[in-house]
Amino acid sequence: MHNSKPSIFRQIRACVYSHFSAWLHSPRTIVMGIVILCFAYMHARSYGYTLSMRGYTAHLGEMVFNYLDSGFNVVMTSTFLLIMVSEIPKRISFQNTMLIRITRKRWLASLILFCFVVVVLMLAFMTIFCAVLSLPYITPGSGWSDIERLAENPDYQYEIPLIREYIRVLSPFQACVCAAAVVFFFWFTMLLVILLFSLFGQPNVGLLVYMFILEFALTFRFEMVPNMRTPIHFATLAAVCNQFPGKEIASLPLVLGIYVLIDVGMIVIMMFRVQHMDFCFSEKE
Amino acid sequence: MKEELKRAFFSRYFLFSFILLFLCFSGYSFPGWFCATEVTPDYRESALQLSIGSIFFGSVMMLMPFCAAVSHAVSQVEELNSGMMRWRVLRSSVNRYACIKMSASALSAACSTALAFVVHAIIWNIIAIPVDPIQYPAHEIGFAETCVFSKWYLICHGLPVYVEMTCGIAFSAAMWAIVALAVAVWIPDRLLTISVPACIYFIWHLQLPYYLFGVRVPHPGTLYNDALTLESALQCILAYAVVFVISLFVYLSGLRRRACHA
Repeated sequence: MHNSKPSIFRQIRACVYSHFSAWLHSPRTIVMGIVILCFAYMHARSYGYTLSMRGYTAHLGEMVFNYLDSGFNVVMTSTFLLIMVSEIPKRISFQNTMLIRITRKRWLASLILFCFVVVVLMLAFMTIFCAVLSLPYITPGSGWSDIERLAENPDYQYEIPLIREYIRVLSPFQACVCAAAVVFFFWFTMLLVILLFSLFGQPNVGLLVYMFILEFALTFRFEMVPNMRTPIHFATLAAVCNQFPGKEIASLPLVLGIYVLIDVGMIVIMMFRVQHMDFCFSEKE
Repeated sequence: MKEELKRAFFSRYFLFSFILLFLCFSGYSFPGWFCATEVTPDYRESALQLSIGSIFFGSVMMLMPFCAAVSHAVSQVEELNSGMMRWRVLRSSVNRYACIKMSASALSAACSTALAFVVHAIIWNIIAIPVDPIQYPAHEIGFAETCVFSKWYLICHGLPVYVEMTCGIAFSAAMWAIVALAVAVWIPDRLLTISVPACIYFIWHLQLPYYLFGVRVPHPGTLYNDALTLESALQCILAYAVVFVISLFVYLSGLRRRACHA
């Protein structure tokens, strides 16, 4: 009989697989996956049409940056992602079985890792899918096409550029990484909030809070109320840069640092909570 | 039918749908009004502009199918999950059950959404100056010449515009409630029942058929949008008729399947 103790890594990996499997087989994930696919397709095609109509060409790097900069239309994509991940952890009896085999802390670690993997996969999937759909509209080369157009025609400075001027100090790859980091932290924080409320026995509250935040961005006329900020104002690189005119790129570490602090704070609260909570996963929401 | 209507109109979902849409309308109008206090009253937005502004510039266009689905269609999920549907079908028939459920959901969605618009419009007609572009040039709205509203908003402080928009919102909401029922019977999940109609609406609104097949379908919000013409209204009604027929077929086939094999 094999009596060796399973390693922490293997235990957590097995748990993440099970969370992932339950998540992938849920109707919410399948339906919203299809919707996100359609949405990304329309987003990419619409951007391609806009380029064609303006008679511009763009390189792959800046096309990808443009998608990441807007968070693939952050309000809509986040809403779809929110519906996909509305139930973390899945309220199935398998969670009880899992908790017999591993400690509560490792179970929580597996859930946090699951959130991380979902966000990374979502970002990667959207980026690759949009990049592939953009192939008909791109021209070979690297760098920012705005600089090339400006060199050809000095009057171009009076037109609306494809990429904002302060971004051009970075290379397209660096800009993509910065934009992806902001979207990643926004989505990761969203998933942690849902998980936090679930651990406090209120799985729907986290969902409602974020639904409210996202829909509030569509509903309310922010421009009429000075100095009003909501999480949506820090959801994408474009939105973050708009908040700090004059020091757009310099403000990025500060915003990411605040995101990290919030996430760490939530993880600490969850660690305390998970030690003292009663588990009941028999009821499906 | 009477019982079903009672359940539809005296439920928390109906109230939630009404409040949510009312807040959507107010999200545009209230900040616009109260944050522009320094502007002379003559140059502030008219009651009509404030009432319909959130449709054109706010989120009403986006959240309308969501509110329509919330009002009563979610009860289908509860009836399926509790097994109540089976007993109700046993006491009548699938067709009768479908007819009652569809009528109640459509009526509930139409009333909750239209009521939100009407209440919001009444409030603004009390607070702000009713539209009068002859006396107040700032009240002039730049509707396209072909748009039916370009002449209607001059009549009786824009009453025909209010009436048309109320009817348009009610009609569209009723259709989206039926779509939600069709979703509920196949995927008995509350969250998906209210979100799938909204997703279909977004996909339609963003013109997926155009990107895929090059076919332009009239905007789903045409009946209460600012570019309404007689032609576009007819096209939109036709598009909704197609949606209705498909939803009806999907709903009935789902109900029959549930009644036979649930």
